[in-house]
Amino acid sequence: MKLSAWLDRHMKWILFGPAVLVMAAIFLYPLAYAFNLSLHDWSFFTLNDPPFVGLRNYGHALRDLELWSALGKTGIFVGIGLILQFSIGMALALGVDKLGRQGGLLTTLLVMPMMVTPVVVGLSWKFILDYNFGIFNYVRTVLGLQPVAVLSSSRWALLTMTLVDTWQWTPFIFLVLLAGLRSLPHEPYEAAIVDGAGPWHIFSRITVPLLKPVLVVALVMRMAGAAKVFDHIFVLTGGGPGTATEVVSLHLYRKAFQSYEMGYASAVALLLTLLIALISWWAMRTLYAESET
Amino acid sequence: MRQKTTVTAVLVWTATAIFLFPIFWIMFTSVKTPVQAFQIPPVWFFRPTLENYVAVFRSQPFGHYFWNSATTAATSTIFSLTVGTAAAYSLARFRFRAQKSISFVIFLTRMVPPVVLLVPFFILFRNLNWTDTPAALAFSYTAFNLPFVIWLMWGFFKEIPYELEQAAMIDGASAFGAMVRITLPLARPGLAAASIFALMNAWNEFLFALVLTGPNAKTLPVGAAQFVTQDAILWGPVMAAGTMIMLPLILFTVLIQKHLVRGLTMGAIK
Repeated sequence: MKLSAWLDRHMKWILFGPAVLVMAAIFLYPLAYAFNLSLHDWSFFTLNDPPFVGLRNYGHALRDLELWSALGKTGIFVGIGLILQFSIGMALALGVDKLGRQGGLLTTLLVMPMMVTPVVVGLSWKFILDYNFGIFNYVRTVLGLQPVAVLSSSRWALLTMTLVDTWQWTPFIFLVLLAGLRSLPHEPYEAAIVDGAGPWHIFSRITVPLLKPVLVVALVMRMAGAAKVFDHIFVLTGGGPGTATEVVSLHLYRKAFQSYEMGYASAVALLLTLLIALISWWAMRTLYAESET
Repeated sequence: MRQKTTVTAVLVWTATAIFLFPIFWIMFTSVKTPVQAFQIPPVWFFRPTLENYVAVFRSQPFGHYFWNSATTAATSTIFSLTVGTAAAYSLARFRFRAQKSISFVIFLTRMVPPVVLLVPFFILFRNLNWTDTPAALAFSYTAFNLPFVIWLMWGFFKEIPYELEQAAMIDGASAFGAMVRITLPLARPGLAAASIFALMNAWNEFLFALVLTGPNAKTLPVGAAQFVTQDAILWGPVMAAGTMIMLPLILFTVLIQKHLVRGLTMGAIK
């Protein structure tokens, strides 16, 4: 048999096989390894022969108050962040969609924050918010307000992290919603205008329902992204003051790479994966089902 | 009506200015002298200088980090793109019984927090003596880039009609030949989007680089973050380093804006 005929006959697996092998080696195997770790007491003192402890790490995780507190902070961070990002992103998308020719330039400009390396984002905001040398407090004093050390205030630090996340990721929501708006059919709008519907009515009864699939996917992707946040916070506060901004990923980092409780960290990481997968599965399910009826 | 559009324009432009301010501020501060960078009220008029840029290269092996970042990103991108494009083509052209499960698995990989893989990678690389090598880092970035490329290219290939290839095959081309000569060139916008995203992910990545590298394989984001651990942060050089790290990507954005939308909204819009 000729080589090219043999190649053509097995094309499906010749092309698909390598990806399966690579994914097995760099995704599945490490995942299985993490699961195995989570069943052992892998710590700095048991490097060579970590004892098998069954599900003890998982039990420990569920009773770990620091973890629950980190989850709570992540929840606040994600919740407030998503509300801000979706409202600002939607407003911008609607605005840019109306502006016609300026829209292209505006889109290019608005997308930029999303491209900035997260570590650099953290650094730049650390400078802007600096108590002594930052322009934020300079503007406050010009306006006659007291300067605030937002990054070392347990009251403001987490909210500040949310705002930085909003700065970087609102452009993403904007971009997705703008693309969604442009793909909508014209007929429902024409009909609504003929019927004399007002702008708010058109927005809530036509635009939002039509955009629902786009909104759901954007919501799920952004939620998963925000739940993983690490770089901004690591650079801006390192989780402080105290543990005021210690979200789940920072908590995990500390457990795994500062106290070397690898088994425990793996257990928490796997639980977290399960939680995120369940929430996104549920969101896709219910919201999609709703928009179909 | 005209008035309403003006109000919208003013609001949107104001918002855009606010969003761009931090980027402007990084670059603006980076060309001040180190002393001016600290002045409050801020100096608005001054002679631009490259002092801070020189300082960055003096205080850290920044050129070395640059090289590491570039090679790691390039290696991971080329590898994910080759393997991923092949797989995506296969998914789009052939019948897979588990098609639904495959797309769910790819979706799941997007949801997995990176730390889940980081812990096993850390131990495995240590056992293999791979820690602090650019290869190990490129390898771990592939774990996230590969499923992304497969997903993105799958969508692109689905839209290219099979009839084109069939016509070529009637003219005597092999199936592989038809793929290489007909479909791949048509999928060029997709390949552009996929490579830019893979490059960007690797270029910006911080957590893995922080844990898996030391002085040898350290990348730019880790190098930049080191400025913070010092007692007094030298804002001038920090902003110069920031400018150098983010500028390539911002220029990219301007150049390939059209493909960006496609890549970012991956799966959100058909």
